[in-house]
Amino acid sequence: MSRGDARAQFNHALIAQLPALRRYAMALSGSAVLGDDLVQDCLERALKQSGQLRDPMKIASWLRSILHNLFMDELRRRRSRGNEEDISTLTDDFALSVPAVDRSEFHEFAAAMDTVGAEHRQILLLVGLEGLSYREIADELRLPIGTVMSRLARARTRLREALENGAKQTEAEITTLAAYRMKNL
Amino acid sequence: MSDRSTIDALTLQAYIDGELPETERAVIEDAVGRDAVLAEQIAQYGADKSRIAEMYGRIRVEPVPAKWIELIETHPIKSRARFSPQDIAAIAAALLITIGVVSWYQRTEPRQESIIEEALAARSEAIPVRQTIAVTASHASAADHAVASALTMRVRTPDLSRMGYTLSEVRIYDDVPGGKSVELLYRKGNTPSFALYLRHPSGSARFDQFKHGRLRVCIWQDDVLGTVMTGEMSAAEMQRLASLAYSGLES
Repeated sequence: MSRGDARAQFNHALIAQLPALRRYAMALSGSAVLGDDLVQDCLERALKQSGQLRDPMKIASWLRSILHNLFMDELRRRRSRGNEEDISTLTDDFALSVPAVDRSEFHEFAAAMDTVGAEHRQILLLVGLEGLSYREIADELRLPIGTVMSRLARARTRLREALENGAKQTEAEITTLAAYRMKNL
Repeated sequence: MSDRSTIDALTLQAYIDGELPETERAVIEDAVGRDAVLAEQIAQYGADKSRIAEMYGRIRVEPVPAKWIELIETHPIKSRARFSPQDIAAIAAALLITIGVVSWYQRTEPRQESIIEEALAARSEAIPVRQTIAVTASHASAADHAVASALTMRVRTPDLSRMGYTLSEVRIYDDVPGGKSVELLYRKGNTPSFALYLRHPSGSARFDQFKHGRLRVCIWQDDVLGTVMTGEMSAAEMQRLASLAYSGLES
């Protein structure tokens, strides 16, 4: 295969991955804008380092790894600049990426996902969104399967707690609002 | 005693993700039948998992920004290093030797593409089948045995159920270069949709994916096994399927 053919094949595979990569980036970062920036940076890095992709069938995993590293760099940069902005504050623009009828439910869920932390969000997405097996996740994250399993269990517990807390909060808000309306009748 | 005290959190998660072997699965299912709280816990975690796919599945990701496609298509290939006349002469000599070796090799070995031609012929039933084995869930190990024995190598039939494909038939051919070959036919729903053709390799290590009429063809060959995968599907689906199939062949 000539270099040109190999590059064309690589480009084709890269383009085929874009929708899934974009979805993953948005879900991981909790932001449509940051997600797109991450994909853009990820593409630039992937094109520069295309020679490092040894197994073309693992392009999706390779891209996600690049993107995750970029995301972690971004989080570190924000912290070192003293910018303690919580990533969950970015979710407003994210909700605009889903159909209007789904926004409220989506916003609640995305907010709960944002509370679990990047590492736990990553593993929840690899299982829940990408449908990877424990073995595939262990290979992608270069972790023992036992660590994958315990991290996933912790992540799920945290997500459950966040969803329950969110539900309680909403319930409390409704009760307060009801009491306010009763008082002002 | 409640079953919750004996089933740890990791086992519970592995059950939800379908990662437990059949025997352990049965133990959990038995416990779920007796313990309503455990059943509720599993249902809740399972629902949370499904919501991830459902919620993020609603995000509109297409069309992707045109600037990304442009970036990919216009990114230059790294320029080659400049060579001195002595280097060029050495490369020319090496090339001549390589061409000689390759043409000798091509005269003694079947053409590399022959495996693709065979796979396409097998798929269209244009070559005679020596044996056909209908596969059912209870006969999966018989299929493994037949494939390993035909190819005389440690190999098993890949489980593609994660992507919705079920092995329905194994066909064995013996009128091919280098001995026998095997074709594994997978169904998605009621229609045969993915074929995996296997035999000893007919050339150097190779990976390629392309379209042949309506079929998408993927060849993945190493120095032990040659595989050709065919099906009417997108490049992305073939990519995932090929990866699952290739890794699933390992015995």
